Amino acid sequence: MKAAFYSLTSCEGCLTTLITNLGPNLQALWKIFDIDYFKLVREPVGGEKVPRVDIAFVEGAVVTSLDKKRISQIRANSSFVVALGTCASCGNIAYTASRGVDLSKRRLRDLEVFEAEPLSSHVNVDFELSGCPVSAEEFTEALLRLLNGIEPRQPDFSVCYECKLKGNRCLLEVGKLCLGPLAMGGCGAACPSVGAPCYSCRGPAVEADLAAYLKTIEKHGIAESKATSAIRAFTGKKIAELLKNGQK
Amino acid sequence: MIRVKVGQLLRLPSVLSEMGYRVIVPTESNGVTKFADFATDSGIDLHYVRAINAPRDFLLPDGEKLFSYRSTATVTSYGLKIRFPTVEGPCPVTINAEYTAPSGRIAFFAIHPCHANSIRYLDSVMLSDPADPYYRARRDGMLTVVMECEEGDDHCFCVPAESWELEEGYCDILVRRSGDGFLLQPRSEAGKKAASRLEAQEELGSIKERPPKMRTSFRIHASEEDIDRGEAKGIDSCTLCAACTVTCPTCYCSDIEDRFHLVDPSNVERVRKRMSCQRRCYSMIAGGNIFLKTKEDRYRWRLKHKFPFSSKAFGISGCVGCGNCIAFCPAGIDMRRTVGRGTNK
Ligand code: SF4
Ligand code: SF4
Ligand code: SF4
Ligand code: SF4
Ligand code: SF4
Repeated sequence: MKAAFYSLTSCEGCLTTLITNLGPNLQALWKIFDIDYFKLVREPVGGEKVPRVDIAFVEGAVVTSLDKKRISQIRANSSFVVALGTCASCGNIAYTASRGVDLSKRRLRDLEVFEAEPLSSHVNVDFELSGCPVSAEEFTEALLRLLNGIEPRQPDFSVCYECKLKGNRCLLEVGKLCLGPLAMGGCGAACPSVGAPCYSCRGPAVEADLAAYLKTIEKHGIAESKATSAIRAFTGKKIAELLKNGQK
Repeated sequence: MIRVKVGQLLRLPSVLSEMGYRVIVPTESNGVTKFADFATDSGIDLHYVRAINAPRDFLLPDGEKLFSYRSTATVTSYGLKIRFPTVEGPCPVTINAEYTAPSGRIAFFAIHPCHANSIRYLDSVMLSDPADPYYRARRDGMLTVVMECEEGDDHCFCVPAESWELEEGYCDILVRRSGDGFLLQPRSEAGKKAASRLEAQEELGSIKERPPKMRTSFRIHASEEDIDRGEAKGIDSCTLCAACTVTCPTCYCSDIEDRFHLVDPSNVERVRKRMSCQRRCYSMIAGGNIFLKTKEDRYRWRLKHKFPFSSKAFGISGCVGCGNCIAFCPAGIDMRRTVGRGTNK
């Protein structure tokens, strides 16, 4: 079986996390797959050419003209495309940051720069694994399912679920803005567990309900305007869509 | 019955731990009270009204490993191949489950009467035929030190829920606040043994539990029809966070997961994870169909399971009136508005 790991415009944090956090699983990965392309680990076998593979993992958002070209080449050469991380699945911070600014004269080296988009704006994506960065455990679980011909799954709960399981005091109760009820769970409520509000770095939960969330925070005396700017800041296209639908 | 000073009551956890129990105590940190394993430096909270977790979290721990087995998984150049019994016909090998039963006895210190009754409910679920061996192993030899409540908070309703009284077997020592000390009434042999190790100020007659003062009074009407007809006030602000089931001391739903490892793919662990009827996958069947689609469906389902379904299946109510589902709901959804009549809430 062949796999490849690609980076589009990103901090390369997702692939770095996999390398550092997979531990012994990283070697196992090499035993199971022929990996012709994983630039952070070694020189690609066929140079910059996009190889034909069974599974392609792609981190990063589509920002430059090269990204656009690469993602369509990747799609054409891969049976299964996994968007790795929130940049690839939602556009992440770059999505909002690249809007409302004049990009026409901007260049990244000699490449044209566009408004950032998640992979799904350009090609069909088979599975999205959120996280900023992705979690090595979730990656491994998804991979094991794929290898067995079972559809990988996304958490069906929000960050609150794991936060409550951990027995944390809810930050909303003390008037802090926490996006947990809107955010896709699976991170083990990393931030609220240390007293920091969740900013939804994994994109919206499968059943995120913006209207319900805004009513809930109002009960805790938190202004809607404060929430909407925080929601906009980080998780890109999906949250932007949620906000747009919410304003209808 | 004996009267003891607070220092002696606080010695009880160490006494129990010397007697060989794993002792669980209420501790306070960051503004919430949580049950946790006792350590000599545990800050024990004797004044709590509400705890975010419950004895359930120790009797049915989340993510408990049930057993491990070896699958026929092999790593080939075509990838990892695991033969699943359900996917590719009957399982090619017998599964030799490697299983170690949990051992040791557990003692709960300073739980409230509603908690004691939540254990009684869990018993009727988990020990009914066929008994769950993991639960049984944890629960056997359990000891409970039950601290009476004088008054509930805004969310408590153990009196309308009829769960302030303690059945035999669910209280080994009853504790009542009295003046600047405490009255301790042992109600079992194990309880007597533990209490006898404390320094008593005086020996007195005996006490029986009494109902705590309630801030609300109402009657529960919770037949299926009542729940279907009752209003689900404020449900539009429910974010499906599932706090109402995560913090409920009687919620026992779980999911079973097989965990595979890339390094040694034939080594499989089967674990039991908490589940909630507020989650999407709870009612999802093959093909992706969901039975409980809306928040209202899930809200009413939760109440039906607590009241009529539990009464029918186990002969006791699944709600002990602790009020956690109300207190910890970020949207302030209050089931007393659906099942309470003559409520002053
Ligand atoms: S702190 Fe945040 S994540 Fe945790 S329960 Fe409250 S809203 Fe949810
Ligand atoms: S708590 Fe929120 S911000 Fe923090 S890691 Fe999880 S999803 Fe990201
Ligand atoms: S705790 Fe409240 S908001 Fe959360 S799922 Fe339950 S009813 Fe909905
Ligand atoms: S349903 Fe609510 S009040 Fe009843 S036992 Fe559960 S958390 Fe307590
Ligand atoms: S069905 Fe819902 S309310 Fe009943 S035990 Fe399960 S999670 Fe709790």
